[in-house]
Amino acid sequence: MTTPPPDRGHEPDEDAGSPTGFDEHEQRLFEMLDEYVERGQIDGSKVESPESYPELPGLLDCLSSLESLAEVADPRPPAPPEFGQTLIWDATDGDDSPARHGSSTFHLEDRPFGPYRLIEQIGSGGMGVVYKAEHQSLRSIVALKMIRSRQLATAEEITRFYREARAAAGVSHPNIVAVHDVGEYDGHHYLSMDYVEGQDLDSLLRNGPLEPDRAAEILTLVARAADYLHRQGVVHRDLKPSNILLDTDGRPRVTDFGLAKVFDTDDSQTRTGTIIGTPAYMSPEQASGKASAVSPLSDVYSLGAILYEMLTGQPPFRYDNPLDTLLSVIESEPTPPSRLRPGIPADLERICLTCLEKDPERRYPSAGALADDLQRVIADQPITLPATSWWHRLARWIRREPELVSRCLGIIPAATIIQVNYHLSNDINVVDHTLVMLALLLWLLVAVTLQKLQNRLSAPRLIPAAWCVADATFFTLSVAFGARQPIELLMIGYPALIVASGLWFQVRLVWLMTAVSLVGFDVLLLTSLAPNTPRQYPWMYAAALIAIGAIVAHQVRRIRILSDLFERRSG
Amino acid sequence: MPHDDRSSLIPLLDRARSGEASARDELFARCRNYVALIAQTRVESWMHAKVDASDLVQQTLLEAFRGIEDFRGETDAEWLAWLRKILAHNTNDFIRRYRTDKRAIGRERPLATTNPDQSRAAGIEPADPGKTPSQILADHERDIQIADAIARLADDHREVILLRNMQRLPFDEIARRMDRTRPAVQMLWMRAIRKLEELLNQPRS
Repeated sequence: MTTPPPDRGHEPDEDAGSPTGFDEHEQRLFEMLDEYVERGQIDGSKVESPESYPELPGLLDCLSSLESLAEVADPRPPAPPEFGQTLIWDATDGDDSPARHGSSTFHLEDRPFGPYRLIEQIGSGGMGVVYKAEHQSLRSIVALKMIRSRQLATAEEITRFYREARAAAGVSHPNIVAVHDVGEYDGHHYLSMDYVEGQDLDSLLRNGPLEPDRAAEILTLVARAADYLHRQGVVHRDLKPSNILLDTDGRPRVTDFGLAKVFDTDDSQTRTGTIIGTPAYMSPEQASGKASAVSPLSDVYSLGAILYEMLTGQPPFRYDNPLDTLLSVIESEPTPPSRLRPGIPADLERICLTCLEKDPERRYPSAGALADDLQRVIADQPITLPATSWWHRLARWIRREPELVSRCLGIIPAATIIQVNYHLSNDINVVDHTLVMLALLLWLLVAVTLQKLQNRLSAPRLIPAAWCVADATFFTLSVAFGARQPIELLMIGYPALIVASGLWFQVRLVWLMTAVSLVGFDVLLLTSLAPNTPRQYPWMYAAALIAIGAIVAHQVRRIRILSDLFERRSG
Repeated sequence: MPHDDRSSLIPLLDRARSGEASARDELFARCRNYVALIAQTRVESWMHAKVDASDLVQQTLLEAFRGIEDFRGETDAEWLAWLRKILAHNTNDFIRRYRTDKRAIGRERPLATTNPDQSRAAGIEPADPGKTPSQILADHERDIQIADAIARLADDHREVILLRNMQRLPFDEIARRMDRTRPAVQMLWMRAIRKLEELLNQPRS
């Protein structure tokens, strides 16, 4: 061992992670404070003798205050929102961002809070943090929900919060979590509710879907509770698995009803376009921001979405970002549950899909009617729903599988025209005709296969690219085989394919389609182009294809920018 | 200043809005340290260089002072959010000017490139400071109190808290910025936190 040179003597060892000037006590205290800054909490069990650090609580309190101020000054990059979290945001006012649970929660365990003592944090969501707490004088255990102060910024919102909480306190039903008390302590608005021992439906569903009978049983009780609320004039607006608690006997209890409304808009207010709810369980009328159209039937939709998830293990629409989820909620049709998981009774599936109808008029007229039909399923009796009409089924299929439907709409008329033309004219080579028809048939079969693959739970990511390549390939083949001069008019197919590829809203797919179209065009150029075509025309055509690709790609990029903006706003 | 540290700003705000000059002065005096602390945090973290934030604070308070009739809110939260919004606006202008000043960039860049924690800084416009949802239980009076206490700390104590707690930099980086050893800044930080806690709990003289 060598002695450090004297001129560097004042500098402590750079490699040591710990300050050498600290004694052991100081060192330990530093580690605890540092852990608190890094993790937002310290493991109490690691503190051997709390009495030897009398200053610790004060210092931690100080750090916690600093952290909350730092959050205001320079927010940490947000953690990605948990799926299923309620979004609350405003389309006009940039100051009202979705509530998120940041990475830096500071825990308030074991502190007195007004008449309560906080025991532990049991949850956190869009509106606030939920603690298990004990009423200090009554000794009763409650769930105490503290509302984030940002969510109740204006006097108007506070008034509405109290109005809704009072309405909720007047509700008493065995399947509803009762509200006991609402108030304010130390500037924080809170409400106290029944503490339900058990877990919420969301965590139960993480272990996979439920047996159909059990799903029907749970939903019957939840629908009855919703029906009771509706008859009291309360619309839940945010029914979702995490708002359904299951007690130790497995009985569901609905919570958080009506609260969404506190943060919702009404016509008298200046805010517009607020979307309240959780995209995956939100009805189309909520998703499109029509606050005035929200009714008990919106809750019926959410009940259907919950049933869907209980049956299949996933909500009807689930995408990585809220924009795609919202668009699907508004536009597309869910895959029938029985295709995702065999063994689901047909009646239960019809009930589920009826709840999920886009048009509220087509859903069950009330949550009570839904509960009645669910009970019939459980009792093996016929349900009351009329048989689905064939054109309604067709409409559902078009919404559910637009990719396949659009190919059918292109291929089948084309095949019909070619067939009719074959019979009308007598100079067509039978081999050529058969080849064209085979190409079209093969195209159709590939489309059906791709659609089937796409419907699967774990659809490969390359499917959209496969659609693009297949379309360009089979179009080229059909033209090449059936080519009778001149074929120039048929070349309209490539621009059409490029424009259609824009509907995937992915820039790289547009360019892929442009590239395969150019290759296809090249093949036709070599095999089938009329010999007297002026030399510059094919170049001009290729340039036009590239230009169309660029325009469509640019449009898609614009839409993506809007979507990203939307995603950032929504977390 | 003759006021209760824990009281709401609202009565003061109401008086200031009705045109009472002394109430305006007191309101801005109470918010100055708060605005300054946020300005320092933001300016430093966006530029990775020491920039005097006082112009920014001055400009912000001046605009708020002139525009107080336009403020429609009724709570402390709204008032402070409004101040932060003006500050954010000025910060953006400031950063834009700073970026277009080639000479300044040429001089300051080397500092930025060695910063290990610039993932959320480089090239992005600062977010609206009103969008801070993670503040679980905002306590605005407490925030103002803390800002006041930080302003009363010694310079090196204030700097280490700004870097460690407000900008959340790792100790290695703080050591580099303050040109001290890592153990030295850790000790400094401990002392600064102790001092801050003392200031917070001792009634103002």
